[in-house]
Amino acid sequence: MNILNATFHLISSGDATLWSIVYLSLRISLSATIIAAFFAIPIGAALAMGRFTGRKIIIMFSSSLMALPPVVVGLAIYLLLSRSGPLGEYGLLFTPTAMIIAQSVLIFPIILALTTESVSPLEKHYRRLLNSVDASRWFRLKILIIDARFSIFTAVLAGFGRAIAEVGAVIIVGGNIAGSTRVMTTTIALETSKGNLELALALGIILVMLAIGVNSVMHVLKSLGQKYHKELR
Amino acid sequence: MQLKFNSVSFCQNGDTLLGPIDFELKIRRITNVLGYNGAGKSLFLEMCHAMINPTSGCVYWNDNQARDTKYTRGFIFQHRVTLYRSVKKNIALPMQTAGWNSKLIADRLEELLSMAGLESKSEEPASTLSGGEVQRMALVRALATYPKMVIMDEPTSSLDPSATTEFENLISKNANSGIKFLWATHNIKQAKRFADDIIFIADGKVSEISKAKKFFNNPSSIKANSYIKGL
Amino acid sequence: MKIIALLLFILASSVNAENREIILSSTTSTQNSGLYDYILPMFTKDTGIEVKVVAVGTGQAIRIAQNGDADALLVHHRPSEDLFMKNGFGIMRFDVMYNDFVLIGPKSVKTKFEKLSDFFVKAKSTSLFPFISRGDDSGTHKKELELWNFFTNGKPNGKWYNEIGSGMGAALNMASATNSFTLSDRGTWLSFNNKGNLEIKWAGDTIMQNPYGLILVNPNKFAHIKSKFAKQFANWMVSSKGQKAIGEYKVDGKQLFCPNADKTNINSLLVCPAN
Repeated sequence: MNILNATFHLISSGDATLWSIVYLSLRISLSATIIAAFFAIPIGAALAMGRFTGRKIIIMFSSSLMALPPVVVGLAIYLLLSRSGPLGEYGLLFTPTAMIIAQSVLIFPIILALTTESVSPLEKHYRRLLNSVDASRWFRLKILIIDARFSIFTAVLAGFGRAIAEVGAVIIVGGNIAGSTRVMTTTIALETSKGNLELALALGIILVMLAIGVNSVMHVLKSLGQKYHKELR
Repeated sequence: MQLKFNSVSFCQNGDTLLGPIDFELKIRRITNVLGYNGAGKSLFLEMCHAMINPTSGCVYWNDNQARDTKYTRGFIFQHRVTLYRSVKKNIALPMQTAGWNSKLIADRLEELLSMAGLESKSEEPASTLSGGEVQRMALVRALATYPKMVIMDEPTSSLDPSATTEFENLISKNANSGIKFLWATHNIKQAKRFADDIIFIADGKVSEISKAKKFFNNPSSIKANSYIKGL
Repeated sequence: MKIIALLLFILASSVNAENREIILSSTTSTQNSGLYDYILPMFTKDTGIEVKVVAVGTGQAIRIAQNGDADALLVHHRPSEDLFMKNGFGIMRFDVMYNDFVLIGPKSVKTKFEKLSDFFVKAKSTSLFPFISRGDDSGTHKKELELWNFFTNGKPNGKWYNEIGSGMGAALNMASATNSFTLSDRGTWLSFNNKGNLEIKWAGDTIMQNPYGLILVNPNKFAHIKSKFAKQFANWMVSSKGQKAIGEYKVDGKQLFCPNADKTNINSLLVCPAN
């Protein structure tokens, strides 16, 4: 009961720090999702379409990436962005941009694999017809992505869920700096380490509510879209 | 339209599924392709349309390679083969792959929908059409970009008699306007009504090519004879 | 394409231009004590310079500064600080403040220790006092090893000695949950909210003192070090205003840090945390 009280208190207090942390979490994870999806969707659909140069390399790279713990990914990106690293001159370390980059890398393979899975059955279904009308590879890619869009959408949502729950990578590349790179998950980690367990749990509940909220909005949009385009169920 | 098979064969896993085939035929109006199930009719038709490439030899239409001239032909499948989209968007497919602009597409769509008698269903999902409606849609889709040749793989096999008749009427109309048809069927009566020429396929080879009258009255092989008699 | 424009906008809005800010690499214990939340706003008000604190374990904090990813370093392990300066990563070092380490243990253990060495010797010989070691190369961890080396013949080996490789908060959580002993800095201990059944078992010896050093990262080693702003920060920290602020900071009414930038002036040394 203590925890529920703490949660209610937190939300109703309208604490500015809390809301800026919530806003930053959403901004970073949504940005990362958009960026990862931008690359993962076409590549994932292309993977479902069959052989092309580099296909095996992409699959290998993506599966290995998924097997890495987020901390390791964060570390690798830290070394890249560090001032003594190759991309140091851009001064990206310990900024939200670094966190967006880290999360994009992390969720890219998830969206990629799920997109390929969504597009594969459709590709099989459409193959002969597209063969008979001499459709170019590019045309096939477009039509597959468009017609599989509702399953692909679910893949993107899965990516978002992974991003918003992530802590290992963002804490390394972001530095958990108060007021600029502190997000929900890193705050929970911090408060736990300070022994403020009720506060940490309350924040956790808010995080879950946040995730549910975003998911709900997305599902409403999806069913609106499906109602309008009744061809795709 | 002149169809030529030049030493064509198709092998898979060490088995020769089709061929070797060598022939030249002028499609006068409607040529029916006959043969028992498994003889290789579908494979033959898909090779005519370069949907499958022969493992050796080449297929030519009017001395051009089949695979370079796909856009000059339409193709119709036996079973429902549609996009998960509206009737309109299904029919528009060949025009989109050909790069037509939206005004051209819209105008042509009006004609095609009316030809198929599907104006009222243009926005409906293609999946809600009946069997007969789907095949009529497939036909006008195949005709969308003004091909000279339409290849059909048993389009009426799964249709009831009245749908079959509707479909056949559409064929007649278009054949009369100058469209040529290369049409696989296992409906002997249908072939007798429509064919100018017959290609008979047996055991993966072109067993016989003759004018229809000659084929039905005096087939060259025992197999063809049994086939015509429905045995 | 609209999507590309959106992407660029997203990335661009996140990158900071040349702001009036520095990155201070420091330790979790200092951060968790709440000191920075108290004194940094004062510094920002006076100078308009924002201090962004990256708080990690001492080893990681030093590493970050060594990579040039921070403009200043504030840690509490003199040998490491001296090595850092010797290797040319820092151009200036300042004494800033000190506090102390405290030995934490469960209330349920009633054993009375005559002196600090008692605990370490008895812990090894009897195996009766389970101990949580941070094991993470932090300042606290290094001090803990120093104590084992000083009072006994080295790091213990045994089931009762647990190296968890985590921060102070995690160590205290574990000590509370498993009725174990641990070494903590006083700052983290005072502001720790899950004390449960734990209490201070020993404190006050000189060997338990924990001095902090502020080092300016060498701008000649890396491009983009904000040395000007960092110098202003250092000056403020050792100024009478900064030192006063450090000494003023209290948790539960208790002072946590003793400012010691100016060792010659007796008056600047305030009364420091009692046992």
